[in-house]
Amino acid sequence: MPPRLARLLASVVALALVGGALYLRSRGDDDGAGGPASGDRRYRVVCVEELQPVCDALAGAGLEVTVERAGETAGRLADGTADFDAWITIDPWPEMVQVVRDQGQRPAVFDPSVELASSDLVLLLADDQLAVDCGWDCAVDASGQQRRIATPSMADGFGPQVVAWAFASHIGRADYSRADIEAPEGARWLDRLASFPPNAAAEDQMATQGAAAYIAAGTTEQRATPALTSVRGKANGLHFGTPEVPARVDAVVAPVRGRNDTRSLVQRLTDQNATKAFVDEGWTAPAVEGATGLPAADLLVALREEIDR
Amino acid sequence: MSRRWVAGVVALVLIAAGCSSGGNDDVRVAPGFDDPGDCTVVDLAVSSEKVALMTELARVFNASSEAQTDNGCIFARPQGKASGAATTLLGTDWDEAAEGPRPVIWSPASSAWGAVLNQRLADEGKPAMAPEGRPFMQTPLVIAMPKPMADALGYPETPVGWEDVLRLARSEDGWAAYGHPEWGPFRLGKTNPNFSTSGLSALIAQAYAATGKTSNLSREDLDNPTTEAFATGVESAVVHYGDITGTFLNNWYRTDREGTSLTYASAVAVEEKSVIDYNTGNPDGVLDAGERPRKPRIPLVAVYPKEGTLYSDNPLFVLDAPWVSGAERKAAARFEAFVQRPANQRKVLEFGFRPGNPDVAVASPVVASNGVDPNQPKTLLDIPTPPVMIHLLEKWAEQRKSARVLIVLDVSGSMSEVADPSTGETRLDLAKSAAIEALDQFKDEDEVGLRTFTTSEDGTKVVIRDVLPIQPIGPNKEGLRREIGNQIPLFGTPLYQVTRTSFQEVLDGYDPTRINAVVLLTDGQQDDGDQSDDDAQERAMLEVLRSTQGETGKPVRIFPIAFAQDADKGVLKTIAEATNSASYNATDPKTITKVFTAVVSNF
Repeated sequence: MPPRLARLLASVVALALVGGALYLRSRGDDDGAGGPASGDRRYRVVCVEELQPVCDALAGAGLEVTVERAGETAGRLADGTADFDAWITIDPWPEMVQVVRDQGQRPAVFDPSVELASSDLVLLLADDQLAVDCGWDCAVDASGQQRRIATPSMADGFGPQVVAWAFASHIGRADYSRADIEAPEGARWLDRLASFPPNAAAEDQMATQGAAAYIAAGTTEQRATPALTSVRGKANGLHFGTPEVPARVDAVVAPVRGRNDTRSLVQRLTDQNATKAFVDEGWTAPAVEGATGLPAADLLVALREEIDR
Repeated sequence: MSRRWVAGVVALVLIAAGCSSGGNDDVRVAPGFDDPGDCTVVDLAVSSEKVALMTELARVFNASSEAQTDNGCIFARPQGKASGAATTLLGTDWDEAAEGPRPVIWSPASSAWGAVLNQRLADEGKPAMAPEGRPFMQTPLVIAMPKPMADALGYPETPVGWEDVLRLARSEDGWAAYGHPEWGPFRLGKTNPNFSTSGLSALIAQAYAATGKTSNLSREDLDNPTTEAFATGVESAVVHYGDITGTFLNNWYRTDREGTSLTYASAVAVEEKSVIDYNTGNPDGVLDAGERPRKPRIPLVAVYPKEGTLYSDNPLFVLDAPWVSGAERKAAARFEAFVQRPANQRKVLEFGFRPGNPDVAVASPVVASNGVDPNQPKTLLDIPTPPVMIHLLEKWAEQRKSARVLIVLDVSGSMSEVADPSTGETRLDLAKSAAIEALDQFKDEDEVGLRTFTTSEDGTKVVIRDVLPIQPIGPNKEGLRREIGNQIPLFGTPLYQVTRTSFQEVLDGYDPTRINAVVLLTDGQQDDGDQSDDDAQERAMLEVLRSTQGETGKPVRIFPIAFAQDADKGVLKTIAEATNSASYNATDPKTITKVFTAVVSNF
């Protein structure tokens, strides 16, 4: 081969290689073949308020974060479309959205969620009259006008989960049904629990103001521990109760169905940096495997309806 | 949402627009904060009680490595802004030329103001601006009482609350029922809830006390006749209202030195930190240059109401506002983390607050020897929903103690001087328009009259003209507006004589069911054409003013407003102190309307 032709062919091959690389890069890993990390891809994610510190730590190059209350995102998606790539939230909010969409015969908006981190649900007690073996029934029995219990709002990231867990503790099992919620005794118990104004940030108040703020709060271990171990939390005698049924919540990422290239986003949210961001905020990461101890998503939707009613 | 509710919110916000006492609460950017260089600026609007602390923290932060970032630096720049005023400005149009820079961080005294702002924005279809805020520092609302009075009630062994306040307010025997007839009737001090966080918290607390609830206060609760009677009963004991608790505390402190504090007020609803300030000899919480704290003879005791109370939680809201950039938001988070550090949180103790960070123990000066109990309060109350809060304020406007007020307007020649060169308006022009605007704050049942004063042209005679007699303002408001508008500048300023005679007239018609007061608007000094007897006139005037205060007296308050730099503010202050009220400074044309609003907030 003449040298000039060889150089020409070499140039053509080189150009083809560069063009091919650029093409693959533009396609990302859409082919499912685990292609190159798409460093230039910008993801728009909605992050639930409860995970804001983690999302803030992960935000930056390639990740555009909008923080929003879980109930607001869910409300928008009940009959709308997602204008973002993924939802970083608390399980089972994505499934709860789908339960509502199914009622309107709307197509799925999310691909299956991927668990990122876990935290146990805990009953934080501030009243020294409530012993460590006090569970949800004990706390609700002890509650009253000036002895309040804090649970998050049903629109908060942890709200439906905490109430569902409390009710599971009350009836002694997680596999309850809507009939249990609507039964007179169950409804009465829920009414009493829901009679206290919701507060998703009761932990610090209990640490600084003691039982005057709340005698008990349903929350997560990662939120309760800093308050429990703080100087004033100790002075005010904060301690954990012993709920009748153990349960936990998982932080998850729910990719929006049909979006390109979300696999690399999931990889990014499960890499070492992301794991550290979760651990720094008191989460167990990677997530714990196995059942969470919470009822199914449709029951949480039913509880939202019951409490809102 | 009902139209009434929207109107209520608008009314609240409009009223709150005057949430400063003659501009005293609005502190502009402090010296040394005017040149941030190329740093990312985090502007803060903070309520007055934490301006000094936040300024100190900002100085330390700006000079620290904490303010250095990979891309440059952060510059925190606090300015004082009364909570209610900031609520209005954020909900409407924050004019940076007049009000200073728009804030990245807003820290009102209580989260309740954030709820009001968000509700107002929601009413206009706008997104919320105040997110969840972490408390920077906390202080509970208490009922401050002189120690002998708290002792007489058996506190703290016997719990005391709003129910006891009501019982004392209704008692014809007053303190005689407790073996102290010399203390006279029970007298309560409460600030105006449209202006003051303490006043708003006290109003919420007394409503809860009337219902026996600690949460879920409802409109129906407020409309219950029992609740209404409770509220009216408590209000009946009020000496006067006002925009800041400092008026009560300063008067208490001054009368303490005179030995008459027990007959000025029996109880005042204030924040716990004010009790600490008072008992450590700094009643208004601000040590002016050269001022040395001196403990009062009779200390106050913080009574934590048995029915429960509320915390002023001083949240730091990083605003979800269109003018806040991502870089500013990150910088704000850094500053917020800085002020939450234990070392910095311990500084809030120096100002009498409890730290917001649970990792910092409550310590001195929040100790028993300062009249407070760090283990209290044992019962807390929930902030009502914004619609209930608005209804509460509407009810208060009906239930508050009625007023009987004589407005005395200086129409001397010097009132013709131009006060605002930018508009050419004279002192009298500004006084008239501010007075006319303030008339809307009176309720229809209030009785208001108008008197003008000057001298004859040759200065030999005092000319006092009763333009309108004291009468219910409801049907006469337009006439009053018209008459104020008609006034023109004339001749001399017979200040002492008109003060004395006006006071005497209100005293002669004294109505024990009302706040009896004179609002004295003047730009000058005593000038009746004969200086030889001025000292004698002043002594005679003060003797008359002081004669009616005390346990058996008929307290008539004079609230003087100074309109010019050359006004004799010393004399006006003495007049105010002689009647246990407050004097106001309206020498800045830009703040005249605010000052008038503050004055009328006393009624």
